[in-house]
Amino acid sequence: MKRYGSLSAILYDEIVIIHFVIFTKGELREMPQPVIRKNTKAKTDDSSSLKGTLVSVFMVGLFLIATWVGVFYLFMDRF
Amino acid sequence: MHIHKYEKIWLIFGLTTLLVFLSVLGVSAFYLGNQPPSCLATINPEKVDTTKPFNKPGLKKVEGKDWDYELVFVASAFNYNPGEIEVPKGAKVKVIATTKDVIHGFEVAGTNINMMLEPGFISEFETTFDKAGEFLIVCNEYCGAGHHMMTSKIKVVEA
Repeated sequence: MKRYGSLSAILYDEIVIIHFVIFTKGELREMPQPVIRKNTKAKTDDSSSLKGTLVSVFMVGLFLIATWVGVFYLFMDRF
Repeated sequence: MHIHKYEKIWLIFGLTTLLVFLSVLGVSAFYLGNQPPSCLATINPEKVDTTKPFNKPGLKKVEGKDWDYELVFVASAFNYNPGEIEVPKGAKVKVIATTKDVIHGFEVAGTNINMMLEPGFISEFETTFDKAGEFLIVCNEYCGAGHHMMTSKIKVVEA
């Protein structure tokens, strides 16, 4: 079959164009391109943001030491 | 590698407490010579009644040792022999105990005396009875149907 010059070939081209119009809403859109980030520096928290963690760690640590000392004195007090 | 300033502080704090804890353990074991109550001393569990000192359970005075008295207990399902004993206050005592059958516990409630008695092994604990009063001995290792009734008593009396 000749591509052009026959009725069926023209109809085929029409269908392709109609599909194109339907699926692209008539606009020719660009392909999405991979984006290269220019700002590659990681965000770092400033020092004040670990204050709560430091306080929590020392609260747990001092509780543990207090229980050790308490148990030790209980041990020394008993025979 | 970047470590946050606070992170360094609590890492040093944690490592220091760990080192202190391990040092205490090491000094206690290797310098002061502390050891678990059951430490290498063995006995034939079928011949406990004929093996010294378990052939005569109870309190007896000893000479020439670091302790003044030896307090010998034999545990079996579901009692301790002796069932009650008097100890003079201030006595330096070595508690020596074993079991004839299954694993029993030997806890003198409210004191540091707390041992596991295993068949075939002798458990020992050295202490000074420096508080007068009655002290209940309980089995704290489940040993069978009568476990909860297995008790004895130490009376520390003014010498």
